[in-house]
Amino acid sequence: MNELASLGIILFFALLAGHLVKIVKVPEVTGYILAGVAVGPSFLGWITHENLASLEVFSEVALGLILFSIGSVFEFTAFRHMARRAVLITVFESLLAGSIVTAGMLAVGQRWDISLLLGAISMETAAATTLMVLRENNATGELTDTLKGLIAINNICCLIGFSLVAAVVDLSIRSSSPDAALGQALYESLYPLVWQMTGSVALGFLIGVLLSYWSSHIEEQGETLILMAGAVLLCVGFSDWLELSPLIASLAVGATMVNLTEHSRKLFNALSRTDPPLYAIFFVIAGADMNIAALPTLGLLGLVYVAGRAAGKLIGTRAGAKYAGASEVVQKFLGLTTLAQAGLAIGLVLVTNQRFPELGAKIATIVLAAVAIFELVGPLATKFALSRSGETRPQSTEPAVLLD
Amino acid sequence: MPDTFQRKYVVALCGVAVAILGIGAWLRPKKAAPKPPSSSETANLQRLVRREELRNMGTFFAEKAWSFGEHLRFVPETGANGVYWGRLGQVLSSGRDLPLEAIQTNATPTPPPEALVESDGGRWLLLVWIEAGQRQLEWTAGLDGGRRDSSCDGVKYRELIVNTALTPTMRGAAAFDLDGVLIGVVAQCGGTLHVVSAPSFRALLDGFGDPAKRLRAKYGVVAEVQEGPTPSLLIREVSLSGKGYLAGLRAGEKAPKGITTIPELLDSLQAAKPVQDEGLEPLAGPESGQAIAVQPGSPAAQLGLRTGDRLVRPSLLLLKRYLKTKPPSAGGPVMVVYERDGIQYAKPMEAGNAK
Repeated sequence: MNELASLGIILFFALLAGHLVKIVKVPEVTGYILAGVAVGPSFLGWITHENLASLEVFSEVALGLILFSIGSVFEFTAFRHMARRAVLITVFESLLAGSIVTAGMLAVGQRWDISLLLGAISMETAAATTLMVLRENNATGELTDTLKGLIAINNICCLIGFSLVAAVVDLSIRSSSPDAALGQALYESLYPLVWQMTGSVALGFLIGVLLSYWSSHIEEQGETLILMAGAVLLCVGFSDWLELSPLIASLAVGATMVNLTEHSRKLFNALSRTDPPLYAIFFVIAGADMNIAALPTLGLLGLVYVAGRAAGKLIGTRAGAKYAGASEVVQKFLGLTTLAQAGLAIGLVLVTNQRFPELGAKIATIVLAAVAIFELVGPLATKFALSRSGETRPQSTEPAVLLD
Repeated sequence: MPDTFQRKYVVALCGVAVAILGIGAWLRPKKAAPKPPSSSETANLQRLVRREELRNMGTFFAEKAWSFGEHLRFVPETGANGVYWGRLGQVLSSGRDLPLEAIQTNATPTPPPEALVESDGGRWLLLVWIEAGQRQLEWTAGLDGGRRDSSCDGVKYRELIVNTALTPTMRGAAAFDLDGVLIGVVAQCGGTLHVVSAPSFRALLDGFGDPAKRLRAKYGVVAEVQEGPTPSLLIREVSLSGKGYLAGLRAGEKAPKGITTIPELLDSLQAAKPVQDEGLEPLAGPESGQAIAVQPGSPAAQLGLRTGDRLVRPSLLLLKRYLKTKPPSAGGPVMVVYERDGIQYAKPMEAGNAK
């Protein structure tokens, strides 16, 4: 099947699945993902691996848009009030999840480098999935605000943690080779960490300034959309080209824009009216790409990963929220909303495969199988937490205003 | 823009961002070349490729082999295959005694002008030869696993590592890559067959071009020039299974009268070859169960052998010696075993039995 036909199938199935899951009160995201699993190579095979590869660009753009939206969390005046809490909770839950997974892997006899890399990857919470559930449920309130801040910081935290661990692993491999020069090894190991942080923020900042400046001269919604799409594509494209993190760069674009222009709300509103098809494509592709066949291979290591991560997230958020003085609702339910795992974790698996081919296979098997579980359980848990905390609102007929 | 972010700060920050991107991109470490696959991984891949594709590629290989076949001839002088190649200017074949022999021929060689260069391993190769009995072209596909150093009777050469079994009928077979470039020739050194890499042809031809080496390799004779008022050639060693022994040379004796140099001895042995004939000539075929041609009225014919019989034992060389010098009387009669129309016969050959 060619790419356009597979795109059509994706959209129709997304729509169908979206309607079906509403009957059983399951989040739309789960419906999209299940639709993807059904039409993907795991089951019907209507969408092949080749189709998925050529549709990859849609995923990248959709992820860029999602992170761009999340970047608006960093609006200076609003973030000032919640920064301490969000940072504290994120550090608690990320470090605890990473530590428990690492310790668990070491306990079952895994190598230290594999254990550390798995620990670092386990820190991530899926930004796109969680945000979509928030949006679908029109969620507002303390839990929602804390979660938005947490997602943004969590992804940065995970990327820093992974880069540090990768640098240590890289350094240990380089220093053990007989012709290693320590200075060069140190430089090549630490460079990606520094470059990905500073370079991505710099790129996002520049594109954010461009977007802010230009948007103040545009009135028509159509032009606004063209500008937004251009900015996101530019951001993702340049990030790939310069080997930066599209995730941090997109966050930086959103953060810059929300702080530099009074039109940001207009831009985000314009975006929220037009992006549903892209998000549907993103999640169906994510489902189709999911390696369901790998689930039976999960084994003991997979169970340690899933259980360790879930325990770390649940205990870490509760402890962090208590320490930061958050309300009882946040303490009780925030953990459930952080379970979803996808985008960045899969990206980090690919990076592991490239940088450490000898470790990549085992890590990929564990993480990809675990992602299949978390991506199905995560949205359900998030929706449950939002409902129980009373932060869901009925959908208005007007399109939702995103992250205001 | 909001007042809190004054324009000049934004401009300054943009400058910093551009500087970060510029410097960062400039400082990016150069990417190392991708690691080549390990030898075991390559071998696995090669096995996989061979197993999966051989069936489909059979027709393709057959077409290629037939097109390369124009370079091949059967060479009666060596009883083996020979290959014409533009740069060789002669037919290159592998004898039983010399690994490679360049033989002058009147046949017009087909002249592809490609140089004989060392090619990289890890590619398909086709071994093409003429099956002596049927005089038909045969081929087999294999993988060129690279080169290794080897030596034959002290002469160093490069050998192709191939994953194909080499059988005696393939002596002198040519190894081509799929582009039709000659990359090697199957040569016999001692009792074993090797594929000699093309750039080593010259080394082997030159190495065995040394008359002393040639005399030893081809006739099993080591000779030494005796200086003095009347120079002579002393036979130092003679291999009992060599052609020199059959020609009547004996260790410790002097070379026949008039022969004072090794090249002269070589010439005389070469000239003597048709004379020292016991009525037996090998037809090309495997070493064991070798087909023979028998001249009517010859000692071999008197023994009961006929053209087309396959000699099982003793070896052809030994039988020739027995026909000429009689078998040793100790140990009873020698049994000559031969195969005719698929049935083996044995004939006793008593001392003095054959004349």
